[in-house]
Amino acid sequence: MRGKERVTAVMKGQPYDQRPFCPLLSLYGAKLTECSLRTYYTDPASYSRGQQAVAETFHPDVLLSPFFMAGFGEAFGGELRYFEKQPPNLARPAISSIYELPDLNIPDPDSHPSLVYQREALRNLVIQHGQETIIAASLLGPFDLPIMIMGLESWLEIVLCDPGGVKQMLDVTTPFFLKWIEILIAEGADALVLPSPFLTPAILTCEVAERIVLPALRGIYDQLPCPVILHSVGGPFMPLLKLLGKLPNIGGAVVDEGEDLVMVRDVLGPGRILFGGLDGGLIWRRTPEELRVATHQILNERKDDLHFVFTATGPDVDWRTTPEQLHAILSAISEDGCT
Amino acid sequence: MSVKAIDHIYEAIIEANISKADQYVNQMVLDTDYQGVLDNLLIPLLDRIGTGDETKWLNVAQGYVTSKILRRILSEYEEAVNVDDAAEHDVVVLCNAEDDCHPLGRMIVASILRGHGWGVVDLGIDVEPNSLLDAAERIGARVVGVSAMTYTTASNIHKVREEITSRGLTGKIKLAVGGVPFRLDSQLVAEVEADGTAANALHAPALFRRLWDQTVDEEGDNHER
Repeated sequence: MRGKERVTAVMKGQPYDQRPFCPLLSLYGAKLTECSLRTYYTDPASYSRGQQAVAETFHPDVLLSPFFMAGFGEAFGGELRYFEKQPPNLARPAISSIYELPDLNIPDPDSHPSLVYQREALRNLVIQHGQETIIAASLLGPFDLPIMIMGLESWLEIVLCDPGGVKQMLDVTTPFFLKWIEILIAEGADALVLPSPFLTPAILTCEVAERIVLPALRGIYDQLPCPVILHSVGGPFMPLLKLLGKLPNIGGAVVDEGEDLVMVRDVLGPGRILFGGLDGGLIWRRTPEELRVATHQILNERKDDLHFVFTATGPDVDWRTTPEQLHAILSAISEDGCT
Repeated sequence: MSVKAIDHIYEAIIEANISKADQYVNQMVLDTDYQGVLDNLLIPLLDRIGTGDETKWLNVAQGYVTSKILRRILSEYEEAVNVDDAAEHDVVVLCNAEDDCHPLGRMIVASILRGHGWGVVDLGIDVEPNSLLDAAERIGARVVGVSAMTYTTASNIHKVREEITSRGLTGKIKLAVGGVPFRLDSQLVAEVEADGTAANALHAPALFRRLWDQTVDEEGDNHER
């Protein structure tokens, strides 16, 4: 089976030849092609070459367009900081207070270089790999995008103290979010992934989520044209996932290695896709044999779960990871065989 | 300050409900002098937070509410008795690791340390090891605290250890570290050769006290020799 058929079978709960493998290798393509990260995250052709190398080296069932959250911050007027071995980060957000919101420039998806880069990188993936592989694109939801616009501290303060400010910010982020989803689908994305750097139990309490976040998100997610996959970005997703999982149009969730997958499956229900696996940030620390054993163990625990996809959890697979380590996981998946 | 009011404030922290916390803290500030606040609220509340099961894995919103309460009380205190805080306390230096641009955890730790009577010099984000050690030597800090949000920036903290060693300050200045990577990767503290970390911001004062006292003990041992 090709990756696309395999993942489609998972979505439909039909038999497949082996578990799909969906590691987050957005950054890793730059390592494989020895591309500077400033070039990789600004030049769509360089990103395509990196993902081509990922496809040839590991044959993943899913390829991702740039997993580049800070790029949204740049699009809204923030400044980026580039690194040698990790994705760019936001060095300075566009605004620091809700009072500056009226002066915020809303980026034009057709002309802002950062958004054009993301679109072109996605389009290239669809053209080059879309026949055989699922192409996923990531974007930030209306409550997560503000941390890229004004920084975590300012946004948290607004969420905790200023209901009027929350509404003002959502009036900016919601239309952008819905428009960007339309664009990603039009560019050919098969799946949409929503990283949750803000909507995570490491940041928010369930009480705040229930009181402030969920009432606002219900109406917004109702308008989504397709289901989205929630992504924990590292660290536990429970118990907040219990609440987020009740939102409309949630197609599944990517959860951390330490999470209790039985409990997460209960929360998601039987039909939605559960992405679990080994922590992408720590794979580099384990020997190939340890990785094989850990992979077999997780696959064995989920053997009856037709809607389970094996992934590298957390943010991008760490730069220090060797291809041999990832191949060890791949071989274990292959040995595990079919459902 | 009644026990019940402490319960309400504690509950507000657990829920990260800042308006509920404000309601009780404002009333307390109106009704009580600083010594009363210190003895009857601040110390018992911080003790409870530091030992409570619910706060074992404190999240950012809860830490933020706690630091907000502390800042509110300390600002009242400074206005009331006009004390220049750093002059009278043991002073430590905090910063984010080189290349790290995520200030929130560090700022919460700074507030909580100040709430426990520490003087804090906060150098901000993306600080190079030589700037950190220059500041620490200048003010006589025995502990420096470095925060990081990603695995990559956390690994940069090892350069702080190298700087401490190259300046001959091993044992004289201790290195405390914190941030998500240290919670997720149990080997990271040893890998960057830090002297310790805390489960969350509320446990930072105990960590800093322990490290500070170690330097004093080690200095005493050296003098005896």
